[in-house]
Amino acid sequence: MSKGGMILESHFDSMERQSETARLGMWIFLASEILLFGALFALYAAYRSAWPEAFAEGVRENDAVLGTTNTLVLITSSLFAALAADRLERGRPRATLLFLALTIVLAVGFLVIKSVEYGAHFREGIFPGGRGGHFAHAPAGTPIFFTLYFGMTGLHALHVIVGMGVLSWCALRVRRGTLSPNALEIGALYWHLVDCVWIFLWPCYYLLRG
Amino acid sequence: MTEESGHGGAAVPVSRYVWSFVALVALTLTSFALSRLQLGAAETSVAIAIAALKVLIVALFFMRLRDEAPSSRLTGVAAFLFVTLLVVFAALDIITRP
Repeated sequence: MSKGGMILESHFDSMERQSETARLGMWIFLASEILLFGALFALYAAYRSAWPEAFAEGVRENDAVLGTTNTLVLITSSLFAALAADRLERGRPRATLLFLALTIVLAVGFLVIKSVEYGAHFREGIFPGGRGGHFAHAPAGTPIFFTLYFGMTGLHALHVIVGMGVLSWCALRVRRGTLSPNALEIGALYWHLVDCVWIFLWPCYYLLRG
Repeated sequence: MTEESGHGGAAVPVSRYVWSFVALVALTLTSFALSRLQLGAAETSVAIAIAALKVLIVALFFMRLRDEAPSSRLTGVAAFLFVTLLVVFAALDIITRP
């Protein structure tokens, strides 16, 4: 009846149907997240079309090597999150905890690299809202580029922090033996979404140099 | 052995995750290398196409949309397609203004 603390509720005819419904709920939440970031990507597309030169120059201002490193860090963390869910499904809680720990370590690494980048921008006089010495001689549209940059990467970093919380909570429940494999898979889905958002942020802010 | 409907908590071979990861890293490095080549007008479409392919790999294999029930697949795919419409038309609006 119970698998990792999961009980079949009377209104579902099977455990599989119940798990499937829980995942559907998560997918609906992820769809709303996709729409949130989608609106911001639409802003980016519109403003980039309006100020192509300012946006290309803004991208050249960002450190492509740090940005690419962070892409590889998040992709690897996504692999570890998937492997953590896989291990729990196979009834291997110790390996699950190891992969969850690795995922969280990489998440911390991502945030460290991101704050190094923010620090470098602040020293160069680049702040959100077009404040700072850098904008005195920059082309029109540059303040918009960096405001969107800080807004979108900042919102994404917030999701990384929330994701770390979700994965830590999952790890605690795995330790107690009270987390179902399906629940961990749902937690991992959130982490993969954070990865997907960054996969699109990366070309927009580090590669498209015009 | 009966065919599973949905992924039913059934584990898939670990090699599937590893190969997805290898493909994601290869696409990332390819995209980075291409961005150094100054492709001009094709630059944006190439970079976004590679990003879309990477997200497809994450969704199908890491998020297991490949084995997921139709209701979840529809939700994920529809959200992505509607956002694509939003982004494309937001750009087209500005580009086609006289």
